[in-house]
Amino acid sequence: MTLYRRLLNLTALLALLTFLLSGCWSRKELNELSVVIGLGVDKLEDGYEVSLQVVDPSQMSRNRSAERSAVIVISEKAPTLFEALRKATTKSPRKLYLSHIHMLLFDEEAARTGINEPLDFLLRDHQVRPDFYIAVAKDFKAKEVLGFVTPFEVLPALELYKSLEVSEKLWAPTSAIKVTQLMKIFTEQGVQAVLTGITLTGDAEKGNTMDNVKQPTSLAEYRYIGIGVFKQDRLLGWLNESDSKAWSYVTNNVKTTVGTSECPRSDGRFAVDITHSSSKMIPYLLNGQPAIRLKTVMDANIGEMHCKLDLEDESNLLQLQNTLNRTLAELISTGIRNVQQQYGVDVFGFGEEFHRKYPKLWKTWRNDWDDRFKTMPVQVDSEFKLNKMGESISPMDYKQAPKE
Amino acid sequence: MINQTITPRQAVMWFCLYQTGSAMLILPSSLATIAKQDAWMCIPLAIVMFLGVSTFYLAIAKQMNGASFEDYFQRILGSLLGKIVLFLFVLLFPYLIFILVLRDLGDYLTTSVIPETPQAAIYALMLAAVYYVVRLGATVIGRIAEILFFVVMTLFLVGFLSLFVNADWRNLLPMLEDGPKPVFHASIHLLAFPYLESVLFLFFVNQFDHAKKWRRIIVRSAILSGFACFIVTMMSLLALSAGVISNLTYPSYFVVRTISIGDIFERFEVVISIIWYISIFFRLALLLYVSVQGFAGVFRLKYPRALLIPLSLIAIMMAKVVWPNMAFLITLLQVWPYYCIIFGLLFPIALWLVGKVRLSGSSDA
Repeated sequence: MTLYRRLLNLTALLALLTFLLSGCWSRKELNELSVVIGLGVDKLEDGYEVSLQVVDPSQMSRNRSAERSAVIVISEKAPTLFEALRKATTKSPRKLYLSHIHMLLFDEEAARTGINEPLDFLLRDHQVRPDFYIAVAKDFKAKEVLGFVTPFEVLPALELYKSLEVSEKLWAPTSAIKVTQLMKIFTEQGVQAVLTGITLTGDAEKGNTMDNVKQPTSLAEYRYIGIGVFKQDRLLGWLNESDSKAWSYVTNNVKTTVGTSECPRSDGRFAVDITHSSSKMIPYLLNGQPAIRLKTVMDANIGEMHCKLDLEDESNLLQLQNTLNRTLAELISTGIRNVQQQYGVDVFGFGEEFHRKYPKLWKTWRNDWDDRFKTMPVQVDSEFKLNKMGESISPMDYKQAPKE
Repeated sequence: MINQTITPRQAVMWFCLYQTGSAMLILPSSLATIAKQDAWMCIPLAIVMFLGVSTFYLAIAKQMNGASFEDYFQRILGSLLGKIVLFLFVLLFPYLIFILVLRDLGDYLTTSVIPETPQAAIYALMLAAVYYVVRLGATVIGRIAEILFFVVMTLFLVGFLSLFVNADWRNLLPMLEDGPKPVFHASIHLLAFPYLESVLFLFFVNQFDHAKKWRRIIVRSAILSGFACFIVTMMSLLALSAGVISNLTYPSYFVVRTISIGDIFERFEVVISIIWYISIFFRLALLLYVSVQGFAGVFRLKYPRALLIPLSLIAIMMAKVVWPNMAFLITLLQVWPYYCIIFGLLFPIALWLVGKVRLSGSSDA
């Protein structure tokens, strides 16, 4: 009897185990999924054209054929992103899997009409992780940029992602903006958004063919250009390189970059490697009106020297230091002034500083903050320190040149 | 099932997991909606308020004088009225919460983690485990709590403390922008949900030698879970800012998705689901345990276990219809704290007052 019972129990247990064998309810094997790594949104008159850069799985193996592209770009038109994405499955044998999106590109038209609408889907969908970068394709459609064959990485979206990440660290005018930063900015009244721009140069049409990478010089290249200024979620226009740089300095987005200036007493230029840069906005009241004092502290080493100077002499080095200090302070204040006059939107986040320091006053200012921002005086106090000069001291020809 | 022993340590862990359960996932968003960047201040404030409330619960526990909570109703209200009131209380508070939590679990999993799985499958799987564990009794639940508590806490700390990398302290400024009122308002919400649900812990008083020990347990569990809520809220605020989290359905889940340290340490948001699943398990176990004990008290059942299956099955059906859509739930959550105040504060006050009158005449045993 007990043996019988035990057998019965064991059978029941084994029968229950079969439920586990089927695995998950809605399991999806890797060979049923298309991994989307890049997403492009182009604005049409009635809706969007959504382009998806999808990894070609057969090209990810070791013995891949050089004949085929490693990614496939599918695009579909529909009034909403969600619709377009579902519709795109009519062109793909697999289900689209969105968790690995690395880059999101908007074309200028979409950016100018507002990016809130297309972003909504990406924040709502459960597959999409909020860790992708966003950029605006300038002069080209997002679809064209996504179809570009990149020289370094096999997967273009990954190359765009890494390139943005690296250049943000080494080159101040580019800025990598993630979607969570954008979400935060959209909820605040004292700061407006910016997004970096990307464009193609050279023979863009050939850049979209495999020929682009068949010789050492690419036929076309992609390039991150300066940043685009937004008002709410709409693109207003672009900042040039030095103004973009100013934005990065002011908002503390510079890790390292290059600073250059004219030589103090002779022709030519010199360049320094800025190894550290930090800025602090100090809001204060000037006759009851908002004003900002900006304190920047930078450390740099000499990177390249065209000036005819004896660097063994400390006074010469200090002279360079002063020159650069003036140049950079000028660059920053010009940048701020240009934004104030040209666009009149507070992309630097000065308003948020006032919000933090003067919460009561802010309540009366926040609704017409952009107007106040336009005329707000900004004073730049910069402190610049030149430390090292690399492996050589004076320029090579200096010693031969006749001393004055 | 009745009179099963549980150690104070196990009780602290069980109650703590109970309190973190539903609250953790939505807390940052509901607090930030009211108190904005000061949401983090609400937690210590609510805990302090709870300390006050707990002394009041202690007074009830003392009035119970060693009897179980379900007997206490009949002792002070008389047999018939006591049964009716107890029935309504159990139906409208623990059992209703049981249904709501079940639905909440289904909603979260099908929104964020496994959207294609039918909710009935999620309910059935969870309830099978809850049914089994409640059947085995408090001793077993206590032991499981003792084991899983550290798993939850480790995962929790790894998950949320790694958000320090993305933290921006300026998100907390300006402090008290709209004065202390919103902070106070939000802490009342927090006190009501989940802390006033501690009235249900009164069902456990007679498991411990004396009422003071019981109070020490609920205070300790509240402080522990308050600590957890504090970390969740603070980290979400620091990493995302109040404006962002107040518009998210499940902010604690979303915020962990944003972690990326060195391109290696990333994408472990499922950890949050695991933590949540475990704590919801303890929440459901406690609610079912209490409901069964309460209903068994009403009907004087010899074998309370007989109620487990019917109550679970009713809950599956009710969970499907308890709210029609998400917007309804969000509105419900605004009213919910007041509902909790009725049952967690006003109702016990009434009981206590009646008890005071009824018991003062009889012998002060």
